[in-house]
Amino acid sequence: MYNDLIKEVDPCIRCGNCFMICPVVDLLPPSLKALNLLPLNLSRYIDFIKLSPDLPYYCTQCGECVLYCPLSIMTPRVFLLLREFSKGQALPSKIRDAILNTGNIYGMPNEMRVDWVTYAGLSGKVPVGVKADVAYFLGCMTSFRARLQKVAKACAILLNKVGESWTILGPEEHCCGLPLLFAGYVDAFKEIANRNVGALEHLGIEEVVFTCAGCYRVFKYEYERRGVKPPFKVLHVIEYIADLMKEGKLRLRRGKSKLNITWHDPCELSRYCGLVDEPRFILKALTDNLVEMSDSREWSKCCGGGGLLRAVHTELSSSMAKRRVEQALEVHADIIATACPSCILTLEEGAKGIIKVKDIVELVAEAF
Amino acid sequence: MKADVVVIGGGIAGRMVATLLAKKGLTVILVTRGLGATALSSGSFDILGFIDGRLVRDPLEALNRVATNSPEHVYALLGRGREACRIMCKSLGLFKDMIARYLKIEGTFDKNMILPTVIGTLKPCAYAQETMKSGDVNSFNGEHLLIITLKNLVFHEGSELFERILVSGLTPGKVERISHVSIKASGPSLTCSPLTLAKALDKEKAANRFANEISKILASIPGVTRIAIPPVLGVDNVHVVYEILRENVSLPVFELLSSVPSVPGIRLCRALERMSRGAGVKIMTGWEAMKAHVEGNVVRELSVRHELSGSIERIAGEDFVIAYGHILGGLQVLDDSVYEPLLGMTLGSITIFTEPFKTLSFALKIGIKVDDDMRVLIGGEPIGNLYACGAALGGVDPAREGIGMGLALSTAYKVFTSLTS
Amino acid sequence: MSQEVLVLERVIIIGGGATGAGIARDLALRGLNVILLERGDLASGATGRCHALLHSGGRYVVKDPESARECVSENEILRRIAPHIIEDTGGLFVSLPHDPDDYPDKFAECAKKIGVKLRELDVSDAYSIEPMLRKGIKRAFWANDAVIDPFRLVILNVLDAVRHGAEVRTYTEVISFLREGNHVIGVKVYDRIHGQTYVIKADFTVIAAGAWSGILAEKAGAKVPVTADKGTLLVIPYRIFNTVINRLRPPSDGDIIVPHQLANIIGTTSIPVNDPDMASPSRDEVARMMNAAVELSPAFASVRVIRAYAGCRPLAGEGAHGREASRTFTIIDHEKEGEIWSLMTIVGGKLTTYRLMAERLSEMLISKLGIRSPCATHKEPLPGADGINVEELIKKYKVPSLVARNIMRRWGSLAVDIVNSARVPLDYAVTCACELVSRAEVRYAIRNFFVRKPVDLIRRVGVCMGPCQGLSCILPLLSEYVKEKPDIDVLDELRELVKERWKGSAPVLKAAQLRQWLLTYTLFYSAFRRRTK
Repeated sequence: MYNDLIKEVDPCIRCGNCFMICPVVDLLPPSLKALNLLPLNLSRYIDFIKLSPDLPYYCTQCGECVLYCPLSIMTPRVFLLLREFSKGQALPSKIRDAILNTGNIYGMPNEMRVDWVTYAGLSGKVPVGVKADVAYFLGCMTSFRARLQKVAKACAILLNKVGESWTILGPEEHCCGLPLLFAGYVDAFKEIANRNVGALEHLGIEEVVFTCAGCYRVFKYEYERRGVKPPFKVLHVIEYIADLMKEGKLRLRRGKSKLNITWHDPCELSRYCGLVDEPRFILKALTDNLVEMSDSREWSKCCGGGGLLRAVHTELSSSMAKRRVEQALEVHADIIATACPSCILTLEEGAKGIIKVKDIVELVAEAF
Repeated sequence: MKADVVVIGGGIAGRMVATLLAKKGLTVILVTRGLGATALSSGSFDILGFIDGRLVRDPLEALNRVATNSPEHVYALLGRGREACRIMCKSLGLFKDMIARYLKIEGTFDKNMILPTVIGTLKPCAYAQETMKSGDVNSFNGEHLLIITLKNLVFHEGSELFERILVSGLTPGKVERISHVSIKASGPSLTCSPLTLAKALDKEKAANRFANEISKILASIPGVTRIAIPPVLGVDNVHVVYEILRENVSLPVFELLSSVPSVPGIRLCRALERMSRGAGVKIMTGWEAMKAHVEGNVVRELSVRHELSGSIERIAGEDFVIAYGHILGGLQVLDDSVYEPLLGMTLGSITIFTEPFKTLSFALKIGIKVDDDMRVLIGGEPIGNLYACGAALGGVDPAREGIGMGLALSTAYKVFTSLTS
Repeated sequence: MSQEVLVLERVIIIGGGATGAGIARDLALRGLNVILLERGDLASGATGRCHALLHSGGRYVVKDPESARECVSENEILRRIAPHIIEDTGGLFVSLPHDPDDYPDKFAECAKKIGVKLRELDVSDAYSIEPMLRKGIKRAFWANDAVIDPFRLVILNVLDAVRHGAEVRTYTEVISFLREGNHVIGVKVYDRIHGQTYVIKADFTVIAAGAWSGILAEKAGAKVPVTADKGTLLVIPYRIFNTVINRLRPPSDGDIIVPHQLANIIGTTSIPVNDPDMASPSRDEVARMMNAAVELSPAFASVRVIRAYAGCRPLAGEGAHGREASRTFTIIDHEKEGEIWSLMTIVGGKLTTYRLMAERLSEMLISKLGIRSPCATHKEPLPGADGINVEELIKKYKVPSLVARNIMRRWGSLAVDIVNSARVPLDYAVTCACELVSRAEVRYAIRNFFVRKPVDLIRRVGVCMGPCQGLSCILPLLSEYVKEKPDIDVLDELRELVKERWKGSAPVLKAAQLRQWLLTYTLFYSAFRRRTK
């Protein structure tokens, strides 16, 4: 483990770019910030990391630093490796226990994963655990959080509208495992990956659609990287929608009002998966007034909701969200559209009602 | 994926050639890992600063001389004598115009400005970002210099040291007096990074407050003739910020050339991104070029890898351009040899000297060899459709000779002419 | 023209390494009036170029039992008087697949005879202590090895000597000895910073100049048989090993790896050299040692080496041959040799036994001077040794905990003085981020630790020693220095700092470190340029 860590940081030439652009570093308390702890240095203070287990959690895993590094050092991976050294501390082990015992990050009974269907008034319209072509994988946040259940509803309406043969996994859906990776539990992650892939395979699924950017990235890349290759196609809903539109299977009405919409690129989609053109293609069909924030596409700024930062350093996460919202206000946006449950919750809190935050699926569902 | 031309490298050379080609109507894919070494640049655009350690006053005349008399010099690739000068002027002129919407650069070809860096050392360059131009010590005469440091900027308090180094390099009489003042710039009250500060200043309100603060201080320090500021005057909106400053402070104000990490460097990179995107270049950010697939003596495809996800793609193209910089960019260092990863060839090995920096100078000169049309040579034979430009060519020591941006832009332009002729 | 200043002292000690500093402290504690002269900076010779091992004696049991015995007792004493600068890492002696089969038993037997405490471990236990060890080790022993910080050891000895009335002058080179008949009555010195020559008189003079002792003694007209034996060491900026790792085989290149501060130090070679001033690491030595290190852990293959440095062991005896020579020490009373009076020389020995060497020499010296005063150095702890609680430091002074831990690690309870000198929170901002040296510490060192040039700070507080080798700390460091001592030529000092760092980097320059230097080069080259006004 230590070997992997030093191999990763060794090429660092200490130019300081990562430290300068990191949205988290910028908001650190001065005493911590003045230490100028670049990843290379941090990796040399393993003993100290063990004493201050919250230190490696000052990272949202947004990956912006990778683009700014002349040597492309995978700083987010460095932080994950550092987190492995603080395994067993209160927070990470709490998350692991919740996921392994109940199947979701909230530690709720996993059967409650279907409750949103009733709340959304879609009883009977959402197939649960049946054999189908397409599965909709909600993810923990979307399944349990009231705000995000609206996104699930919109997605269900969309799938019904295009007449897809589809299903959700319901109680058989487990956390995708990303929080386990973020908390340094690689072995537990593999176990959970097998459970999820097994459940989907069992239903003969050909395509899995996601509204969660994190789940999508994990299914698309992280499972295979850790030896669990999914035998089905992995699509984020924005890819799914864009494909439908290009094939002429979905027609959208233009937004009634002349609202300015801006697209907040979730890190997991833009930087990690390169999905930057699809959402803009969809939004251009919805509005004439697509405005871009000063940091967008691959260069998007993190909302502060990723990488368990929110769980450990909540205030810092909120400040980051505020900054991102300010960027949207600067370009006079009325709606921040995005496609990541974590971004929605974080930005909505940062927006304090001044500006609307919507999932792109919600916007699409409104435009049938 | 497919394009007419695939450009590898998103620094100044790559963006220049990609933009020129896209403006000509070709489809261009630009593959870049991210910012690269251009982001570490100081904000100046140097053509030729030193020959044999002697300061160059007229870079164009010096270029003419070098390109005529030293056929082995990298500038001889541009052509002999006047032809090299023509290409240099054309490329810088074009670049200046193309990027003007996003970033203003100023200067002349035939006279080097001498600009102070944040360390206090002096650097000759033909062009610089507009915010730096008033720092030209050629125009200094008995100045009373006010050095402004920023309280909420981490690690920018070395103004005594800066003054000592600066003065030791100036001819007596240039500067009569130096005053220091430390103010808190707008922006977060915490100690913040230069980039955050620059972004805060991007907003007109903050820029106005900053300008007022400076005018207030000027009232208490009589006789100031020039004002030096750390390089943080905005990122995307620098032109407006500078205008505000100039209007409010009726004295010449200038930014110092940056060290690393560099706000002017990032400013330039963001402007380059906009310039190339605006011209219609398809930019693949976060992708690393892995391997060029050669058949016969032409490159058919390029394998690229997405760094964060690890997924691999192939891009087909008619022509390919290497513009990935030197060993802080695409060239690899394996033990003590310099290695070209796309074709898998070793370009040379580094000799170690005991004299400080001679080794590094030697290492920098190792690079990709090209023919007169800038086509990459393997064992003396050109690859039909693979071109190279910028620092990847090696052949010079940018630090010692004061050659950087000028080389990148002129060779990029030369590749463009080869590709379109 | 030389300007003569007369200073009267009782004892002159020449050599500001561990031995000289140890003697200065020993004599000062006994109430003598001493002046310590060093031609460079404190700990800039062999002391600052060793592998910093506090020997358990294990390394010498087979070849050099006398040294081993000395180490056993000194190890205990130093742990008592200087616990704050000792890291109790413990040591592993491991036998690799191709190491001789009979060596471990011989080793254990000898250790038992001498009294070096050893414990044979299950091989699996060795791996749980050091998971990065290569696969397939045959046997493993645990010994009482530790790591001592040589820079702090010297400065603390000097500091304590000065607190007891001694004087220290660095960058003061002895150019000749003053004689009155057969008596050495003082020295003529050259101040290398101010360019002055002057005379210091004394009743007695001690040469403790390590490998340079022979050359110095010759100037006094005496003869000292000493052989300079070059040992090269490499620095890896990571703690791949956290215990001292020794190979169980007859001594050879690259058979020891020592965790020191945040780094691993790979040691060492043994090559006799003629001129200790010219001893520098060769690329060939570097390659041999890297191979040996990779044998101990494959992890060494994939990381950068930031530095190589060579120190000269002052082996006692003429033509003493490298690894065969004993590491014990010799005190020469030149009066007994019938040559020169009032002059003694000490050569040989090692860092671990510096105190014992000082004690023996001081005993001889005071009995010659007819003074009776007992030795105190085995009882009196060094400054900073009285333990304080780091948590208290953090809470009471609101020091960021990482900074507090680092100051403590370097200075023990002197940390209280250091944090007391800080005025604003930003004083805890780091000057050197690699080694986490705070601004407060740098400033305190400039004021209190006999610093005469900015480069001295490298040895005093460990700035510039990390992976970037000065790139990001040289300027803040100079900036701090100029504030305290404005009277320097900043460009000269900047160049000297860069050159000093380059010296150790050149022999190991490749891959990552080459790129690192490229950045340093582009940033600092302009400071090296000839001025074209």
